Amino acid sequence: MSGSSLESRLLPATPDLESYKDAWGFIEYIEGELFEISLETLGAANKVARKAGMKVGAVILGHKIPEEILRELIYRGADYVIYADHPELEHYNPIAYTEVLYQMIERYRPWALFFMADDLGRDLGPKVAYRATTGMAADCIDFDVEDFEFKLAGKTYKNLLAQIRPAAIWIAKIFTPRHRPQISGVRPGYFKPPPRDPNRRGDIIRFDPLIPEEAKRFRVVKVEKLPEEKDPLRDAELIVSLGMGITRRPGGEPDPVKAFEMAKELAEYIAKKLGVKTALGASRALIHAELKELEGKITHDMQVGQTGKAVSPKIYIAAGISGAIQHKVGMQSSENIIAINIDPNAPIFEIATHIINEDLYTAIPKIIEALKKRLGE
Amino acid sequence: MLIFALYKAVPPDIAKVGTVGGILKREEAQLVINPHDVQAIEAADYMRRLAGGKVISLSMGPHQRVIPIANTLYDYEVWGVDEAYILSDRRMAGADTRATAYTLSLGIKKIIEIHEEAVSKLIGAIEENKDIGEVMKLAEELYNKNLIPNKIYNDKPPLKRYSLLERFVNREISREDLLNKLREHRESLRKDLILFLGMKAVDGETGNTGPQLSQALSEALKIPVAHATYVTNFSYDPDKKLVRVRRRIGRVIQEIEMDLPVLLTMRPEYEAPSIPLRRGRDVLLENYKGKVRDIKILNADDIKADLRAIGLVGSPTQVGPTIEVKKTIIKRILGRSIRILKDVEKIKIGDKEFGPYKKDEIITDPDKDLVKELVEKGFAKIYDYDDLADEIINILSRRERG
Repeated sequence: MSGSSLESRLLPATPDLESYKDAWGFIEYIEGELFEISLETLGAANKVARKAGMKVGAVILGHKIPEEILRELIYRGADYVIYADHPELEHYNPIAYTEVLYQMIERYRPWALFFMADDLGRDLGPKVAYRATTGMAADCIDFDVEDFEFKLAGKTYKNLLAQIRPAAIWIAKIFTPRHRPQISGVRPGYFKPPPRDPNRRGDIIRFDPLIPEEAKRFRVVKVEKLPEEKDPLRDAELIVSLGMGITRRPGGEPDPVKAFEMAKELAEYIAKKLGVKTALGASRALIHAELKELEGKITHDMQVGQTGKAVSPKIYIAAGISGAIQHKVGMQSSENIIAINIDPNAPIFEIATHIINEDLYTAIPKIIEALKKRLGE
Repeated sequence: MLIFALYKAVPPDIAKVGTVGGILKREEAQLVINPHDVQAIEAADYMRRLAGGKVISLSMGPHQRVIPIANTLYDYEVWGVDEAYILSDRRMAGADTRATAYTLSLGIKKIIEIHEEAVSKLIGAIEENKDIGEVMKLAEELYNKNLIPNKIYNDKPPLKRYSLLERFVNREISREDLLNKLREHRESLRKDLILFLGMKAVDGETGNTGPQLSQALSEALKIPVAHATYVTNFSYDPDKKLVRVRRRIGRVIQEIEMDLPVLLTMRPEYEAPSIPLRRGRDVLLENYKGKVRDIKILNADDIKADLRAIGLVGSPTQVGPTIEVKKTIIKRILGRSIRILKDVEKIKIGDKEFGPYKKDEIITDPDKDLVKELVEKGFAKIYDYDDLADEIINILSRRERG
């Protein structure tokens, strides 16, 4: 059967598919505040836009959005900003937001649209995708630009967005071959927004939306702001994480407090000498062990992994962490992984860039000592 | 009110499917209800106690494998579901979340239409001035099929005398009043609607279906369906017909009010308040006769689906080849890897050939003889803590990642 008759059995494609250009990041601006995390969508958009030879757009909705914020988006990697400013957009309202984004899509025809896979993005992204008759790939950890042979259509589609999402030890690539925009959820912690560059210039475009009357079926009657959470793990360039290994020491007496102090010294020394942000992390096992001597030192907000936080620092030092799959999914996208473990078969070594098969009680001081030789006390 | 509880049948955790003879294959494993959807059933049950009406369970999947789950839902705490529908058709297989939402929306529309048609039939009979005995017979038939609520027809005290038809027979209301009330009820069927889902399915892990279904239903019913995801508590105001939800969006807590129809996806922490709010007769009159235990199966033709929009062919997203997660990384093993200090041409040691190597190249797990040769001659060194410290400093001094 020819390609076109095969295609007639499929969900009708977006008309004028080739006219869709550029990669957009949806920026969350809620109750007068920019959600910093959503700048990671600009990181994802930048990666694919560069490969596909397209521009990066930032879209933002709200009411009385300060101009500094719009400019900030240019500094943070957007080539242009499209914003809608309307009293009905003051609070997040999925009906209003969906319609406005749909109107923007119709007008400007973006090739890709990224939402953060967080409270807001997960609520809004799928609805927008349905409204625009396109697909939604949830929770992606990486993106690329690739060809895809779509057998049902009897065709190979060139230069699509490859939307990469994890599934146990496999990763699946999701393609949206015949519909635009290609909409994805970006899992927090996997993309850094591009570096801030106040010399960057770009267009700031105001979009006048039509808010449907029906949006009033959803009313925000009250908002409360929660106190700002400090999340040193998310911003850190180096993380020293501790696991149950600190409680087992074949060659001597384990002293979890000492291990903690050593890890802290290492992180603080590097922060001081190199002027970078560092943080301490922990495995789920260690946090759940609730060691008495570490009370107040190892806390729940330090947990890295599937049920904790996903992190991707430049250097992740895993000390005494065996590397259960639940831990790996939260840190495997770190640029460098230094794994210290006395067990030569520790699974963490599979993904480590640097392997130290040694007792962490001796290894950490050796790292500090070697650094001090170079950087001084 | 029609209260929908949606659920997905998922394969049980493969680890838990041990048998005496070994492990069952995934395809053969009995399906179980997606654990997150238990909260949807619980919330629907609570809603029924609050507002009256009936709870309809709905799923999409091969009916032979979904029926055992559907059967268990009739007896869930506290009351369980009243009716069960399953959307089952080979042509629905392979659906992504959009095709699933589309199919579910048409299934829901069809179920609403079944109820609308029942009321229309009754209205028709009255409009044609049929004999009151005939009208009552038809009403009884529809009531026994669970298609009209107590407020329209009931044959037992104490509710009987409050039902519209009984009041009409007793000349408490006029024929016009009766017709208007019936039309009002018919119109309310697609407006006074609430749907509950779990926050995501454990097999797909997307959480897309709830928000997508709100949009699909808005289009199918031509009435905007408000939605809220990840709900931990909600309340319902029966006089204003609105749902109140308090939920978190990032660092903000939103308190929202939504007019019906409403779709909520429930977080696992959700627990229905244990004491039902008693609204007495009003709630009872909204209820239907009882449970219908024969599960109804609907296929793609029954729901008048566009065959291009369901199943794999109706899915905008397509899964490409899957790959095993393995990065090619050059590992540095402290005390074993070597770092090349000067460029090395090809070298022969015994009958083995090595190289060439470039300065600063790392050899993860080098041949012992090669190590000896290169290290002794000063062409390489064993990777140690000094090298590691250099790398740490270099990596962190680089201003931005590549």
